[in-house]
Amino acid sequence: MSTYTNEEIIRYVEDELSSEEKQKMETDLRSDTALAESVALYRKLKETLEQRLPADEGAAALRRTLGDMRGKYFAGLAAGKTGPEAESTAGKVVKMRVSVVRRLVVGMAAAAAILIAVVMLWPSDYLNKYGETQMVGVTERGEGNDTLMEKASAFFNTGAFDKALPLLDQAYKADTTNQTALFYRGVARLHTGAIDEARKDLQVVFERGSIFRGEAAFYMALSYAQKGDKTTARSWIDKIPAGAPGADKATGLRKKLE
Amino acid sequence: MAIHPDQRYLEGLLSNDNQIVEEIYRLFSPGIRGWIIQNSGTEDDAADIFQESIIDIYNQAKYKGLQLTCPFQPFLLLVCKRKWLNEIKKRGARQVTKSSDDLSEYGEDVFAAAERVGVEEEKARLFFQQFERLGEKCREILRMSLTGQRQEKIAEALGVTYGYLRKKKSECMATLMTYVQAAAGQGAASQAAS
Repeated sequence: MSTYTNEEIIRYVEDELSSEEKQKMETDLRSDTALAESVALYRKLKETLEQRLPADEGAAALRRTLGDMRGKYFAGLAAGKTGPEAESTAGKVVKMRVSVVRRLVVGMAAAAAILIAVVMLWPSDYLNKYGETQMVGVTERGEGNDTLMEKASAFFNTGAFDKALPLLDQAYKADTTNQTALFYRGVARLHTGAIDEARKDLQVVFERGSIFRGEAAFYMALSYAQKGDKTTARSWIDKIPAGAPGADKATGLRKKLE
Repeated sequence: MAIHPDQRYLEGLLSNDNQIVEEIYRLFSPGIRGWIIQNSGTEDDAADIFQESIIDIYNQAKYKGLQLTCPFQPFLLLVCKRKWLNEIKKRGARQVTKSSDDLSEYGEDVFAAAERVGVEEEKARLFFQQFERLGEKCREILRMSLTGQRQEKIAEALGVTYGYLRKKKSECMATLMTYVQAAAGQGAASQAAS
């Protein structure tokens, strides 16, 4: 393969090479299959990220439907499993081996709990209400990180955010795709006054477009409201689609800001 | 090639049509569950494979414009089978060969379509696995830069110059490419060794 770096390949695709450089690379491309493969890889990589990095609400909704069907058509219907054994299996949450699925289910359970969460006091000059969040749905999920999440939720749900924080931090570092850990780390940071750090977490959660997207936007709004920045707070509320988790609480917060 | 009437299943997935999704589960999950359980899997394995295969098909329909030119049932079955065979290979188990169904009546196009879904989705998964290995700053820059927002606005939001953002984005993509190339190389090597 010709001696091109990946950065040069990227610059070629992005049309950032000089005309001489471009001409030379095009000549090499005709005879160098490895170089052509690298160019094709970059195009594919860029296209895939562009398509799939934004939140896919359709996929999230479909996953929820699939989750419902799974319970109906798989749980408790294993071959040869009948009677009380089958009934007891049908009633409980199925432990999933595919980690992505598992996290989404955990996320959905948590988001559902968030929706029904209680409104309570926030000691601030601007706000006296916010949606209390409970970490739920992280039990009975297997080993390792989930045990960590269970411990974190025990602290989190009793308001011991300083104790929950290192556990959530550990869980997230062990698996940086764990949006549940990242979201609750952000909320815990907010409760402990580490507002800048909290915003960083919540911003990432919002951009990754998980089930926590609306909730992350709500807590971003709350962080600005708490600091008296009503304009930015409102701009974050505007990012929460109607009907999304967090929308109900956001409506209350908007009224308070006005 | 003419679009098969079963294209309605894909449309149903794209619009999250509850009735269509239920129909897919009702009609097709028993056969696939049976095959997976017969071939060293459990009920949970079957549910995972079935669910993730449907998501793969959804992704291909949404992002790659997949249209069905063959019946849905053998297509879905082949997507599930491919996924399960890969899964048990990862677990180091013996390759399964038992078959409870006859797909010989279907043409090569069904096999090719199912294979394409599997290959494309594996590639996308590899890209995202490697994306997660990037540092937080790189991920943030790429996430913002590749989602259609104006680059000048992104630079402002990140508190950097436009020139710096372009340079950094290029560096991050180059690193990601290196990760992907190394991972794909490892995958090919282990496949060749197995």
